[in-house]
Amino acid sequence: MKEFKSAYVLRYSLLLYFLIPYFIFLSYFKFSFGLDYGELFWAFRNSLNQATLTAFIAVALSIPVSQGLFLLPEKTQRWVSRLLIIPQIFPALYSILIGFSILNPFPMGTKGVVFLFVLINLGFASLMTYAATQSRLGKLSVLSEVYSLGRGSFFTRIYFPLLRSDLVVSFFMIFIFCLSSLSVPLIAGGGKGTNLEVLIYEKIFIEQNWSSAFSLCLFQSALIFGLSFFVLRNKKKDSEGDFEAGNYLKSYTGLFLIAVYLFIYLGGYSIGLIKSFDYMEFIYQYAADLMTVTIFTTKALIGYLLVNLTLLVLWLLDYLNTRRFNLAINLISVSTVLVGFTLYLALPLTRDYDVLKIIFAMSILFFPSLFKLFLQQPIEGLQSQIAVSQIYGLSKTTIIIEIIFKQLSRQMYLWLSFLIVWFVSEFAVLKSLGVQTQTLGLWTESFLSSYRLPLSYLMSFYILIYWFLAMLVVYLIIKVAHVSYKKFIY
Amino acid sequence: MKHFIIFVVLIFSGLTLYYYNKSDLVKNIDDKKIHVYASSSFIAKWGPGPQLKELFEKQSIFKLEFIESSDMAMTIQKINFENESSLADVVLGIDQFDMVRIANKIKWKNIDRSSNIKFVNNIEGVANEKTFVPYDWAPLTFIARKNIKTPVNSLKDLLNPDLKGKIALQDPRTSSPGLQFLVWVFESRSPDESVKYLKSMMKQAHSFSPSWSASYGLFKNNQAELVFSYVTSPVYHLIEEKDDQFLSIETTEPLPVQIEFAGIPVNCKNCEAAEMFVNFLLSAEAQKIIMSKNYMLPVIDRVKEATPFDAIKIYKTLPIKFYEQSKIEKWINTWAEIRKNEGI
Repeated sequence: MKEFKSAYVLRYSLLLYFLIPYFIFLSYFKFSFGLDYGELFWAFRNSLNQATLTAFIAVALSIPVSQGLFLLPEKTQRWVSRLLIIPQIFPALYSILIGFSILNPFPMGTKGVVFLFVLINLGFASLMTYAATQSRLGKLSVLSEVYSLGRGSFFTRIYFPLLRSDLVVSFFMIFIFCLSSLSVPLIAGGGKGTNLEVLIYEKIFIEQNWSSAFSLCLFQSALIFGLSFFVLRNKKKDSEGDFEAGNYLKSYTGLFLIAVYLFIYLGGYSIGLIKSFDYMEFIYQYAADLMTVTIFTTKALIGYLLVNLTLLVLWLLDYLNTRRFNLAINLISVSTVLVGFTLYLALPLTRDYDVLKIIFAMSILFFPSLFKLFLQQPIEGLQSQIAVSQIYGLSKTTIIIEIIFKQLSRQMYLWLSFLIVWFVSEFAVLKSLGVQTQTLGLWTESFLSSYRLPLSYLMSFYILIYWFLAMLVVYLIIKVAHVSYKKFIY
Repeated sequence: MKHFIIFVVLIFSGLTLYYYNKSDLVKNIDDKKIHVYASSSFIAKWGPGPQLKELFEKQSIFKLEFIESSDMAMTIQKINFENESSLADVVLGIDQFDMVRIANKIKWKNIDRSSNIKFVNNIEGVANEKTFVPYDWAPLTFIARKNIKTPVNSLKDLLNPDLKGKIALQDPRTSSPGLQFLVWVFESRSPDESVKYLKSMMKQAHSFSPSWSASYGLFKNNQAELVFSYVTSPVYHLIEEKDDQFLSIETTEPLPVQIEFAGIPVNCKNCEAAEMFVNFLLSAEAQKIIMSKNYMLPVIDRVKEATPFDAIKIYKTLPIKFYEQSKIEKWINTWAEIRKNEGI
């Protein structure tokens, strides 16, 4: 009974943590149904068209691109994978500038929006497909080759049936990213580009109608929650064991696509970066401040990682209690305005609260989506092992460390890697939180919003180096912790 | 499991208590401090904030703390909710549209100022505002490179087919300069002509960016030949980048003007010091700092003499007006409707 009660408390406390912004918002503003439904559905339809087309193209292209990766030696695969993530983590303005430089005249309207969205999301979609292929297919590609199944049959009988749920997840993830995007539809969308996020912005900043804005935020959250709850639920499958990419999973067309994609994006970025080296002297002027900003970012990052790891352990304990993931897993892509503004209102605008606000807001925004992206399926894949361990009475700590963490180390590093880079490059959330201390992301943005675009390119490069070093440190800490743990228990 | 949860609860309760106590300690020594809400570009290392703080603290017994305000609507809403517990002593960066749209959400204090201040002629109309004190301004116009092939001398010239898709504009729903352009069009034409003009402009626009910075980025990246910006923009390139290839365009129509004001909320904590700071902003030294760091023009006469800003030709400007909220909304809705139907 006592055990049941504590499991119940844990489950609902975790859910409450992720719902706090909604409650705070409700305490400030009245909820109003007085929405213009015509306007709402018009904006919704616009976003729907762009998001569907983008998600379809990005996921379709991600299949050959991921197969291009398998042609590369393992070490190169790791490096190219990191490069492929870059478009997803840079400020949208870079992608817009790169997109505009490639196509002249740029096709404004739906075509333009879709082109930019694909440019931003293709690398990410490819990595998702790449990771899913590795975790789902095991040696099936090699076996199919041995049995001379033929490439066509391999894809129709094995590849698509096994990867269908992962491709659906990728589709909806990209769909959701596009649905809540503001800058790209505004710049490239033409007159028909008003989407839900723009509507929320208008309600707040033009009409100062916070109640309607909240209703729209709630509609958007409910929509995403619904998509996540009903569509992004995956069939639970066991992992197929060690992976080996056979020839059916290798594609020269894919390799060509990777080359073109990286050439377009990184080529465009490199041009901006190389030009910005002329402005190095400006950065030297701010060297001391850059150091201060880096130290503060590092402090906040340490706290943020600790909170996320704590949430992860609590989340897993909750999962072990009930064999179901917490409902909060469906709160992916909550409105930035909603989370940012509630904490902006609720907490004082002093530096003392910056770390607290940053950690709280960013864990609410990023934890559920990144968990869903990288850890949900692999953990579900271990369900039978977990069940057996529980029957044999293994402690929850042992299950988490020896079964989950040990077998999912690759996914854990990927999860940590995204936690770090999204955190370090983030500025929109921090601005809406009213954070008073500069972080690397905020610094980049303040260069971007003055005349100093070249300096923001230099800062983005600095963030990439910081990300690499932070991951290196995290890797070393985990290794040391693992060795100490082993020594401690044996 | 139970131990882990107790451990987590203890750690987080401890941290929260620490933060609250630390804040209380700070509050006790706050009597000599004023809190000034300002934009990130104002507070940034390269903005005027740090130098103004240093100078003000040297000249008075008060300490100054800037609080970054990312958006005026959010800042005013926050002050409104906090009511008497609000920390805000001074709010900077209020423009003409903010004054009508949001500033009336809270009560502002009348500000006494020295009588011997001589404001520049262009902003005299608003210089004697009782509650808001102007501290910088700049007309807005189109910025181009000196080698631009299509001559532009009026709003009409922007409709030249050679400029089709080559003008970087801002979305008036999300950007203050974007709204200034819209007002400019409606102020310089009859309502019907304005609508017609805006329809034609849809084809000329390269894009309507959500912010000034995005549109300026497109222009700097050679995506557009013209960008709607401040007449002071070329001076930035001249001073910071030693690049004299940019020019601001004089049009036959008088230019719209952006003015930034400072205001003191009625619930200020150190009201006297706040007033002192606002008056300090009007001193010649402070005006020089604002001009050279914010790249806006000084509101006080003769401050820009013998500086690169003196070379900026101040074209004829529109008289400064405060527009009713309903009028602004009507113009924005007209624009949005045209954009929906005529937009590329």
